[in-house]
Amino acid sequence: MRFIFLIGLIILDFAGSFSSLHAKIHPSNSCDAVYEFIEILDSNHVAPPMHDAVWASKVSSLLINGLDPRAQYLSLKDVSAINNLEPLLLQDIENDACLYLNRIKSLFEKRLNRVDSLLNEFEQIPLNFTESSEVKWFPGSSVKRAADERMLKLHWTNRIKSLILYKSYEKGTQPDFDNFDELAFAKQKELVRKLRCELLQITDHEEGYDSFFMGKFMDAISASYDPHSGYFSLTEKELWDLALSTDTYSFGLEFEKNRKGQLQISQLSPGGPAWKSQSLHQGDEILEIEYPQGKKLDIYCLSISMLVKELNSSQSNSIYLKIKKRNGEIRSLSLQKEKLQQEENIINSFILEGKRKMGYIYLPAFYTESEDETTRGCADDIARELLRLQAEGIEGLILDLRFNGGGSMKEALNLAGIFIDRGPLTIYEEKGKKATQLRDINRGSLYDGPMVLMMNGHSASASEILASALQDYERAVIVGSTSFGKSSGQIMLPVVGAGLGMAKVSIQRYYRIKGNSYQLEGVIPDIILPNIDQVIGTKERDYLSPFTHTTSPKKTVFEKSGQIPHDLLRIKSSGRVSENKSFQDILSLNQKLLQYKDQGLTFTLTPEAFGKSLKLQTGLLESMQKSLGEVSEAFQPLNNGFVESLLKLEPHKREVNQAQKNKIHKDIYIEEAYLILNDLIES
Amino acid sequence: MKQLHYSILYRLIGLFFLVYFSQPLSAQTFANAGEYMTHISEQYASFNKELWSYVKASAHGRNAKVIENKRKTLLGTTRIVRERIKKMPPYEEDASLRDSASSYLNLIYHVLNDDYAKIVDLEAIAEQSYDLMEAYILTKDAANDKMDDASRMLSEQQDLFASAHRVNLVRGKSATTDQNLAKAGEVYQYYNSIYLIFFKCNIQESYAMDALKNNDVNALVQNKNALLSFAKEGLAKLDTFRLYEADKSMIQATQKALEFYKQEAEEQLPVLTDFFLKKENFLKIKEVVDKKKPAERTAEDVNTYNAAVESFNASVNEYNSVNDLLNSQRESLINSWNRISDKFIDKHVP
Repeated sequence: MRFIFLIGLIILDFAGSFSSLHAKIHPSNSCDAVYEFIEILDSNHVAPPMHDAVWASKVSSLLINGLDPRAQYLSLKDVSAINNLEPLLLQDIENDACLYLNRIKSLFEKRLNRVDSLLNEFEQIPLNFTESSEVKWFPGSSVKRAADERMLKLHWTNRIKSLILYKSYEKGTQPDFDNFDELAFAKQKELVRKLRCELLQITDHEEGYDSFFMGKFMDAISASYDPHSGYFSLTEKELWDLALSTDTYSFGLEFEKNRKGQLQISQLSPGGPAWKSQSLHQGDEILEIEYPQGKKLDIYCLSISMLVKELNSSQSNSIYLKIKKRNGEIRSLSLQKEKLQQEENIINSFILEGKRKMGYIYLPAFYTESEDETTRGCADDIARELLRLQAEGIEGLILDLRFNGGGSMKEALNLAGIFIDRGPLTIYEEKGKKATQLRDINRGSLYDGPMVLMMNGHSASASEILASALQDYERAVIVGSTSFGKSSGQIMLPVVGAGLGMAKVSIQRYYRIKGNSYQLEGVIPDIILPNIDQVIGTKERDYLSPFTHTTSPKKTVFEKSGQIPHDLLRIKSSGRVSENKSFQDILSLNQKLLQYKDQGLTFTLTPEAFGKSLKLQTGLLESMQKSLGEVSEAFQPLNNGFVESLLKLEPHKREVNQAQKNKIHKDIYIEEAYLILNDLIES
Repeated sequence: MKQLHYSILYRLIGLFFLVYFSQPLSAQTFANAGEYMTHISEQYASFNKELWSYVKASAHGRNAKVIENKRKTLLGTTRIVRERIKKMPPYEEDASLRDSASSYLNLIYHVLNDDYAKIVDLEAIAEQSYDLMEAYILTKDAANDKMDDASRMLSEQQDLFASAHRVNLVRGKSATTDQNLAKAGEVYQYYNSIYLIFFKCNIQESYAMDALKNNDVNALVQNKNALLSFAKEGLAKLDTFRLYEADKSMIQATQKALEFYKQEAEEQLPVLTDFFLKKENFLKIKEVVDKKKPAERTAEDVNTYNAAVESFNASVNEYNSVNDLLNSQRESLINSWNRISDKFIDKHVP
């Protein structure tokens, strides 16, 4: 069994969206756990904030966003009432009191009841689709909050109407205009039932409303330090252990609710079915889960623990997933349950056979070895794959870190060491300590041939350490989009008073070996390829309270591995990109998205007019999917000899293997990386 | 760090020439200035005597206890000499010679006391170094630079002082001790430069062996590659290395050792790496085949399994024989290198 991270190890990932939905906090009105948590943060955090009015205001905003991420319960008037309570928070901290929390808790409860009554109305009275009302869609932006109670009702009306209209146009079909109202009301009732589920998950929360609220408060507190510190209960850890159990068949993925309340993937079990799909990553939003018989899981109504239990106990060994990537791309795929095994090949390498033989290795997360050290981390696994690839005579290597949100720092450094002879790899600082450099632990390199590293806007943290080190040494050509921009490292610490929860605390800040930082700015690739993540998707700088961009006073001494002819490679690549229809489609898609981001796309909420706007919106997504699906003519993906011999023994695994190869073959970014690598060899 | 110590010593030796040569003064006009310089030189002479005694004992294989006692005596003498010079009054308000002489002795004191932290920025060195070996080389280089600078400065101060106070320096014939020290300095300088070439490979190989012991294929391959590049680099240097008084022994012994390391990295260590991969491949195939009931196994399954067993067994035998060979070759090679280098020092240091 492999772990993405372990308690006590430095974790570098971007799961800033820890949710405490399952926090087992004692249902008393005591804030002891909160103060213990604050104490842990203050004594360990690399840059703890002062507890002043600015901080209180941040906590307040974060709490509001955490409680009501889709702006459906609280109006601006409520927000202002909550903001007025900020001085109380500071007083509470002084007096170990809990007044602030309790006041907001009761206010929020009232607002939930108000929405419950609203939903009762919606369940009984059909909405009028002839009244012309409009909503605007801003890609990648959050919903605007209603000014007051009256506007909030309008907000709900429009939301339900939009959802019914979406449903009516589902799967490209035209609605039945003649019987629209009748059908719409049936949909309305069904929908309201689902929406009530969301509400019930708060008011009738498994651990109680108090626990839910306390969890949200802990989230807000931690997010006021930085987006990556967090609190989570043992319940979540227990669920994770269950998902990773080697005794059961599993899909090898774990869920969480993000700060917007949406269901998303929190972890992939390295080597498990989700990992091997090469389509799923931490942070992907789950849109649908469906069994092959056609039964859809009601993800609105299921809590995470219920969902995990359902998937684990289900007789069905496969599911159909519809997910939304962080860049807005929608993907559909089916997963087969498998027994998670110790000896599973986690890293799959491929040979790209074209003008030259190149190696391709895909790494979705930096997993580390097991607690009992019987299994290896990703760096050692990649080392072995590289030896196999070298035995096959590869001339260059592509390492794919797209969507890799990070993981173990130790593994990132070990992996860098495979490619670098010797020297510093990063500089880190901790609270009250001098900045220190971390170096390659093994002199010599395992692979010293030409190399391209692929990343995108969702490559974060440990990925950024690796990419920046390889860039500073000029060891690899970095290709893709500017990375996420997260330069902090976290550690797990126990919070005893909160019923055995864990605090994830940002205790380290990292710098590049030249002393500069990729915090907020990200690692800028040597060659930038058009990608929609340049327009859509959350980056570190989009959080309310990220670390600031600082530089290290410390400098390191290092020798570059070589010299990369960046200008030449850039010119050749940009020539190809300008003639590649798929890349050009992405550029024009980005322009449209930018336009909608600015002005919004108007949806008129009548059956006929809605279809027109919907066509525009789905057209955007379709053009993106299409442009990403062209088969490469530059190479053929092949297995290495060892994998081939295993597939002969396990022919049932051919299907997954073929799907992986097809995916590589249709990836325009891998194709361009291949061609850049070829240029590098020829330069 | 015995070797580091020696490598610095030849710097000390160089200096005593300068001071000692200046001893027979012909102080016609300013008799007091001549006496002033003579006094400093006499202090250095007493230090010289102890230094030689220490160097001689180290060079001719005296036991460690004797050598350590001599070092302690030398350290005591250095401290006394330094204090005596420090206590001298300035000459006609000119303290330049006294101060450079005492600060130079201070530097020597730290070197003899292995207290490099007082001379060079060890933290910066540690940060720039990959390991102790590299820190050792960098410390040596930094300490040498410091000693060179200080020695140059002292020599300049001496000339300046002499000319300012109209002392005519007549370089006389040096005493036997100084000649011996100078000769020892030369021998150690030569020895050290060859030793470093050998040592780099030697320690790099030990890292590779540690990785092998820990079944760490990743570290093994990286260290093997580093060993190969050190061996090649060292052999290239040795090709053009000058002989010491027509004595080829050190070069030949080191060439032989580096040829071994090169061959080890190019031929034998890959066999060991290959063994680990074959073992893993075999275990994986075995796991898959074991999962199938005997009746379900196809002829192809059996063939694949048998081929993996055969390949693994062959690699086990190869692993064992390569390992045994390496162990015996390494031992005799290192013994021989030590014997030859001891003989070299013994032969050339008076």
